[in-house]
Amino acid sequence: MSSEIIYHRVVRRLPAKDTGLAEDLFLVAVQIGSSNCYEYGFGNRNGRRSRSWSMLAAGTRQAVMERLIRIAADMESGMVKIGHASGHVKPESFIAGARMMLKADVSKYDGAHSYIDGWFSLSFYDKPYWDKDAINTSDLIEWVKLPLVAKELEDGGSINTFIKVSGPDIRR
Amino acid sequence: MKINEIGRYVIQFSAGELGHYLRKKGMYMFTHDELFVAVEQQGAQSVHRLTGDRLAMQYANVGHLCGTRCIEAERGNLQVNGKAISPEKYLKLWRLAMAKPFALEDALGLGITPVLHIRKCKPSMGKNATENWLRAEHLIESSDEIQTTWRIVLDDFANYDIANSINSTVCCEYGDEFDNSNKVSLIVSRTSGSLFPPSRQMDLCEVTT
Repeated sequence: MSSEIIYHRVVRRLPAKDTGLAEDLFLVAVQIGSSNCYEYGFGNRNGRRSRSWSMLAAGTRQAVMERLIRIAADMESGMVKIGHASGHVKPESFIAGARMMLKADVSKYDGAHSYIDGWFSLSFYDKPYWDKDAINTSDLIEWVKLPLVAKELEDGGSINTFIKVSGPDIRR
Repeated sequence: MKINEIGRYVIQFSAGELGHYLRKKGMYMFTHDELFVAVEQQGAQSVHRLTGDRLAMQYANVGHLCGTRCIEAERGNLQVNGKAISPEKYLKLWRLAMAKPFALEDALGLGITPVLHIRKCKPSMGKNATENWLRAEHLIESSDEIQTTWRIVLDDFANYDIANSINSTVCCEYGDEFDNSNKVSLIVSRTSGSLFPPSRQMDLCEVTT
């Protein structure tokens, strides 16, 4: 049976003073891939497990934590692994790690932080102008003010479903 | 309303006892002992309530905890011994309980009786398949034009066969949270008022907040 492997995690925080919202917002992106899907190509692209970036959770700290706790449920069964195919992590460890990750923001996490500037590429619904590479904070602030996103935030939900994300191919 | 959980117990059903519910590692039922204040005519009174999660393998129960009670703990709605607790610490308490599970006989001896309620909306029932179970009046708790509820006291392993038959016949699923018309719930009743032996209780309820 296959499982999903989380290779890298990064967090981007949008301070409340920039967005004008009551709370800080957090975007948690992961480089993730299935354990039974492999890349096909030349050189070191051949045979490696395929992986891509995905927005795991986004929203207020509470919404993000709730989403990550739900994901932690799959840690116990081994459906989600960390780092490699045998990287079994208990849900409580994952939740504690997630809490620390939000606290530490992007600055000291996971070695992927050096890619944080300019790696986000977002697309939003059918608005092609949101297909931007190297978006900056002002783009994100504009994005969270879009009506649908703002409504979801008001309801306390996670807004990760509104975002597609791509990032650097970290090969380790 | 905040939930105040004062104890948690794991009841284990071994593979041999479960017959054709064969699982190598056995099946587990997680039960929560909650304390709440009931206001009655004589005044406020502390009341214990035991509720059970589905009978499932251990990993499934832990996953279910994450999706339900850990979320409530994160929101601050679930307390342990009257104190707020983080989801990760709450799960660690369950690990303690999982390390010392009760056999069903032990649980029955302590006055804990699991009772399974299976509720099914009538229009969605298959005609032939469920007719027999609709005639089993001794198992039916309530029935009207809209829905039927079966009540099975799980104090005997044979009753699990009956419960499983009803459950599979009427196509219910454990923990079906999205369809309230078809629901299986496990209510654990304590027939005697006594608590667990103090030593065991302390083992399982140790709080490290």
